[in-house]
Amino acid sequence: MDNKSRRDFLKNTGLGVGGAALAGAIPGLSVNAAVAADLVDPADPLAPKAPHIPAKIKSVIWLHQNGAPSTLDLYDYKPELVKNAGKPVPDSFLKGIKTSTQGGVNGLFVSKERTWKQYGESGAWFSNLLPNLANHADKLTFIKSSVTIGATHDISILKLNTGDLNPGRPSLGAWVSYALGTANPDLPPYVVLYNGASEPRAGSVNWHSGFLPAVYQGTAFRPGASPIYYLDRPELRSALQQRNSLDLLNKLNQIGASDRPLDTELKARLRSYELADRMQVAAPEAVDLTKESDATKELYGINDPITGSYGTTLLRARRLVERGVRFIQVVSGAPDGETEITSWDAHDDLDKNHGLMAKMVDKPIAGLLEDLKSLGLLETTLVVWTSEFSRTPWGESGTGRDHNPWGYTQWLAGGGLKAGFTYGATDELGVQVADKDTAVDTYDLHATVLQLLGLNHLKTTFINNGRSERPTVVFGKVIKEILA
Amino acid sequence: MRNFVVALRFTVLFFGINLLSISAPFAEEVEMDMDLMQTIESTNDNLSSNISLENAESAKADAQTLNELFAVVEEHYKKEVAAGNDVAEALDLTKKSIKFSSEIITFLDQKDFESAANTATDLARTCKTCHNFYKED
Repeated sequence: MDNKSRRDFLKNTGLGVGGAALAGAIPGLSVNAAVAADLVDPADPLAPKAPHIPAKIKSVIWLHQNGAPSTLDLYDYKPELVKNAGKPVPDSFLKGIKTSTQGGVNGLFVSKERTWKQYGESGAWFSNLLPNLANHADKLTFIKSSVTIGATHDISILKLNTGDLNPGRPSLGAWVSYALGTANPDLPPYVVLYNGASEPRAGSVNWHSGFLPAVYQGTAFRPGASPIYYLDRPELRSALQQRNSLDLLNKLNQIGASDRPLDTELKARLRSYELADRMQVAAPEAVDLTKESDATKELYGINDPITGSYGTTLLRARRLVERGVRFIQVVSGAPDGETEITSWDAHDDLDKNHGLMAKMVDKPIAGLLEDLKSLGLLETTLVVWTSEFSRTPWGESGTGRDHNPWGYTQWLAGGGLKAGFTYGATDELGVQVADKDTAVDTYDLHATVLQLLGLNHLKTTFINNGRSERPTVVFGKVIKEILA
Repeated sequence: MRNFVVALRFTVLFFGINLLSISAPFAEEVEMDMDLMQTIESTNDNLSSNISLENAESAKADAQTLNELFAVVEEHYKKEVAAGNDVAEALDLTKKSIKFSSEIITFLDQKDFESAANTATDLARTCKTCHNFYKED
């Protein structure tokens, strides 16, 4: 059976097994027979691919807290820090780290506004900055021994997303798209969302496909009703006219393709025309919240000026999960209209900065977890709360904190994890990881996310310039201790 | 213009060969410096790729090179410890690296690429741990 007749056979009989299975498995996703056949076309770079092992989750929501929140002010309660506030940092705590705080390492800083309380059966500590999220303590899996390379925000954000300090490597979402393909032919498998007036700092290099084919890069959905640049059909062109043009183009291209059955680039191009056509309907619908109930909107804080834009982004993320999008990268921005504080980067006046930023994300993230749980989606979704690094226990500018890549907290929630569990710890002051053997670097987090998606990071490979490359560069260990 | 380029190429080649012949007697005396570390890093990258591609012989050659280079690093840290410097952990990590590179060779002899890949990852992490805490400014 040649390529063309095999394709015809699949289309005519609707035997798109992967697509049909996916259509049944994913709420809100309906796939017709022709499209299902499209899903299993071997020449399609986005055709669904089988994982290496049974997957625990279907989608990832990657919540990048841009600007590096102080996890010492959110999750990592340190009584010794409180006790020693204002005192110098003992040298023993600084062993092995290179500090670069302007004016040197200052005295230990504790906000006078900070209070702490334990929540849930797990007894996880939360500060008064996260009262809503705290109620979901038992859904979270904390990694309190995170480490990374501390550089500028842009460079460390690049590492967070691609595993490297230099541009050129694929982002984690691109690897996921490459390894698993799409679960919904009407939408990209990898979508980037953000709130605020401008695109996230350092931009598209953080959702780039690097040396992987461009088809695997993330698609940025802008805030607002029209999520993708140039996606809308021009006003002067009717839907019928567009359809007729595409049909003609498709016919001509199929003639060309039949002469070049092995030309995968051409197949990819043909697919992109059709995907764009389908996305004109699917993408705006996916992010249209008008059919969401008032209660749901309230859950995400959409009617509040501070939480509204971030809540909208997270509700869109949930809708994309429902529609089979595999990797949703959400970058925190700033509340609508806010121009002074645009990220978590609190080198001074931490109380003001974190007061606003925590309020912006607290209710929406709590709402997302509750919503996913009530819809039965939390078991098949992974939510990752992450940042490029965190902040020091010593003060900067009197009221702020400097960057800390040596020990901080990130958390995950969702399928395949030990919920209400904490892995690792920082030292008594929160300067660095207490036990280096438990340090979790970016690569380890990536390896673990891939594992939950059913992918062995060592076997997720791509040959680039003769070298076998993988998502975790030459590092990466799955954090087995946090897996259920 | 073309003559100039030819002349320039000749000059570079001539001085390059001379420089090589001058430096050759010193090549055996590998010293602990940035070049050595970069050689280790690139050899480690090659090792990871060759294991993934199941190129056993190339991977073994990489692992053997690493084993020898880590021996140089070990000697360096032994001297540092003897001089009273606080680098005992670096010495331990280097010993670990030597052990890992030897294990990788054994796994490759057995064509056990999965174990070799996992151990190569352990090796890379050990390098990283050492760099995180002992890197130069």
